[in-house]
Amino acid sequence: MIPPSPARPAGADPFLQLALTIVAVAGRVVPDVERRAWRSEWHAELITRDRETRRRGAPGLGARMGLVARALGAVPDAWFLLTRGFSVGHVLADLRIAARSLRKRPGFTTVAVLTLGIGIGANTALFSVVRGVLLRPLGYADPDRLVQLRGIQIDDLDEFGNVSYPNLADIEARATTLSGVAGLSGWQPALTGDETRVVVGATVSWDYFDVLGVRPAVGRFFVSEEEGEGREPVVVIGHDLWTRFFGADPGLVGRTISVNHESYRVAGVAPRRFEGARLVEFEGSEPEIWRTPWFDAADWFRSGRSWHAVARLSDGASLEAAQADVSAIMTELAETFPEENARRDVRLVPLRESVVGETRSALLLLFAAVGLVLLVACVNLANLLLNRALDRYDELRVRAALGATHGRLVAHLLAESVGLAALGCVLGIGVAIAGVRAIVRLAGPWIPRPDAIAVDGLALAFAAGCALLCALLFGLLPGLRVVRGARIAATGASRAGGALGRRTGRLRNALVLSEIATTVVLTCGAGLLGKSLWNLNRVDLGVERRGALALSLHGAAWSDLEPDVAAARYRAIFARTTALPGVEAAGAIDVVPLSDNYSCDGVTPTDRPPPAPGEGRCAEVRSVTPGILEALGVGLVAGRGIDWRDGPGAPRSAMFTRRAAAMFWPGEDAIGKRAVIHSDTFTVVGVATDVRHFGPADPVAPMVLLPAAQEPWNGIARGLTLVVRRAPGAGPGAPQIVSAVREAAGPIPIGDVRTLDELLSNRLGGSRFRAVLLGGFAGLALLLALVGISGVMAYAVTRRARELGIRIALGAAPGRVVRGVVASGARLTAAGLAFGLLGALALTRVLRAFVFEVSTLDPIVLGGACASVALLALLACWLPARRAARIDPVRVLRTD
Amino acid sequence: MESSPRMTLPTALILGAIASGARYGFDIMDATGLPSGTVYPALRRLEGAGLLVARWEAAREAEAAGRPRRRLYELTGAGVERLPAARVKLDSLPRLVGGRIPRPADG
Repeated sequence: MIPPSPARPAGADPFLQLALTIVAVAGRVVPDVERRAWRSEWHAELITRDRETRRRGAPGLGARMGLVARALGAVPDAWFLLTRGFSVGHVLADLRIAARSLRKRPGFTTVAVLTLGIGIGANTALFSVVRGVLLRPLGYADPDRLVQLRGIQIDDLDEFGNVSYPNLADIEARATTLSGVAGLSGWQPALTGDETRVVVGATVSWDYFDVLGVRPAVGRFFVSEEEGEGREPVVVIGHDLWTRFFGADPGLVGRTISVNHESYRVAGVAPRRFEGARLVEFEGSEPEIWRTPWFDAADWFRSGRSWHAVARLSDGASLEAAQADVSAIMTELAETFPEENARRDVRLVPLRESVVGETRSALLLLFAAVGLVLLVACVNLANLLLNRALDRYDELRVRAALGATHGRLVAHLLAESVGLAALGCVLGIGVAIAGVRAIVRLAGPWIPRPDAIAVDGLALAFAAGCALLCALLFGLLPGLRVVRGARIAATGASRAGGALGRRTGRLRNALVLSEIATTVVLTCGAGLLGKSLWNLNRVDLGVERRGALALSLHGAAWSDLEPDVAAARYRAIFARTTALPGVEAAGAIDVVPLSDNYSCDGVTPTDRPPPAPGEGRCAEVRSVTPGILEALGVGLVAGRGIDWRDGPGAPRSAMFTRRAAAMFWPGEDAIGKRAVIHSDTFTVVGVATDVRHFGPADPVAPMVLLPAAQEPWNGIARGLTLVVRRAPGAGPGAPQIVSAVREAAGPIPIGDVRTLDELLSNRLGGSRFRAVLLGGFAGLALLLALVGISGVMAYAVTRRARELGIRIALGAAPGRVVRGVVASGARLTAAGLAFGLLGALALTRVLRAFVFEVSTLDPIVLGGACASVALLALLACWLPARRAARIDPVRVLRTD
Repeated sequence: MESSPRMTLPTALILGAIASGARYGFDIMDATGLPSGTVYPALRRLEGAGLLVARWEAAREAEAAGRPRRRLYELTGAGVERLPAARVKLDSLPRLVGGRIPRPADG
């Protein structure tokens, strides 16, 4: 006689309660006939042990944890009882039967495998991306000790900018909490051997590689003597460039190569897959050639804030201590050099954060979203398998009556879900491999470290884990319920089938409801991001981006020219390109709007009192040639544009954008006013319309256009970016324009050719990536929900066929039958929508950081999302309902 | 009845522990030092193979001790017959488990 399971001692120790709960949960899989005895035995042992230890005094934490650890043994014990009596032969037989029955139902199998494959594939793909971008260590020694130094203007925390080289050198010399500080700044070199090749480069402090803690693949990195005035030009080249361009020749080290027509000695080769500090990039490419500064830090411009910086924390120094140290140094520097440093500070940010930056939160959001897709897929699977188990109810009952154990019956059902999971996993891996490729392509430069992203062993294990979990959780649980019913029915208890039908009906409704709710959440999110993207695309950028082509002329071919020769060459290029049919205008500018670079240079009006140190204001100062306004599609508000009269000998002229003019001379006419820029005085000759240089999401920045020919630092003898405006829908392609340029200027090196559309598209990379991916996930969820809901409804109709048949036989109009079925679906849909909206409202808090000029409660978006889900759900109900109306009562009633 | 189980180390330890007087699941764990997830499935297997019988202790006994009724395990004749084999297994690892199992001559 089995004693009753002892009542839980009231008010017992929480550890004992936990132990008893573990046993209670594990007991659910113990076969029915053994369950009571099994629970009684475990309870008695746990309670006895608890009392015994208490009798010896209050038990310590160790003893109480020990009790819980013992209780965990109930899980393998229960599993043992569930699987007892299985043999390899049984398992193989079950799998064989499962395979046969899956083959016999291709529709069911296809839907289940597709559902799982899509869910698992999307998750594995995003898992690979998240792992590659966020979790894999950066390729440096002790990467968590690396920080980025960002120069900021105090009171303007939004500005994150760069630091001047002299300030960096002072910080390195004085900071005790930093063991090394390295600066890096963009450099556009061209390898000028027999064949000219434009590459991406950077100028770096001599200790850059040492700060990052990497070792050279060949040769050595820089030494301190190789930095500063009069140094011998030296470079380190990237592994990839070394292989591509120099055939991986180890003898290259020590030899000189020609870069921008200058000789540089090669010191060494960076290690393979060296990622750099990811601070300087040029349209998504990392530098692959590095040189040292050719000037002494102390003599360089302290106001020239064009340096990115990375530093390593000293042993034992915390980030907070280092921040305090650096801020104190910046205060000293502000006192010594108020002109350049007043109100400036430097913020230390962990390098990992600055590498993965805004990507992190977006990727985690998307990962959560794709998890919801898997959930919807699993719900579908659970539904399908529940239906399948119910279909086999009679068969299971017979088997139970013939003495099949609980475990055998469950194994029988489980074999099918394991088979489905295996197929789904294989499909999922295929989906993941394709998905990762698509994601990386879609993200473009927005995702850092794209080469670290791959579907590797861990990702495969992740996929297999997902599949197994789906099979067990969503295959086993419904199976258990049906098996229990079948076994009770086998013992002769009548009406068990009816009760089972009601119970599984409730379970099924809960599944559909959660499916609809999840889909609503995803659709709302996708709608909000989609509307943001739409808004971003509609912002007036101040340039006419359609038809404009930007083509960077590399500096190597220009630096040795006399200014008038360079100017003549530009005029020849413009003449030749505008002579092409369909070309309306051509001009050149140093930094094209929407590209990555920026620099805020000080502008001081001459008719105002000189600003206090640190109070001066700055604008984006660009060097341009005549024709640039027309080429970019920027309008003229007043005065005139830059023309060829604004040459080296003529009075210096400047154009201000409307925003810049209003900032420096509010309420006055800017034409004729004078301002000091780069220590030269320029007269305003024209006012242009505003340009959103940084892209649609950023505010309009004040901008000043100087004639390149008069620009004091570099003059016109340098490679600007040629902008060519073509007539809408016409005009030459990039190759014709490149050959026209070469006809006019000889075989000069030419960098990338981009349309302004492409540049904008790069700028919007993050927003587009998020919107498209979340939209895709929402689409998948909708599709899965459609399949799932119609499946459930179809099954419900089949189950009710007899009842519906009788109704029709008694004269119910088919319309009424359809309405009845659809109404039951509509009730579920409405409940699902309500839950989904609640979820979506919670989600909007997370989304707020990602939307542009959309309220996260936008009624149109949320309403539209709900309406589309509701429509789809009703469609999913209507299809089976129509079938219900066509039921032939005679046939249905005869089958019984 | 299942076929006689292989004489693994846990099996030998458990048979030995029961022979030396441990009767309840948790007491067998204390005596052998094996975790609960090993001991219970092994007990079920040994019971299935007929080396052990399990029964519920008398209500009187439990009441007297002030605890719920526990399930206790005892060696069957077949179980006692397997004890020498268990000893051989354990003697092959004397340092690990020495002294836990009484030699028949001692008992």
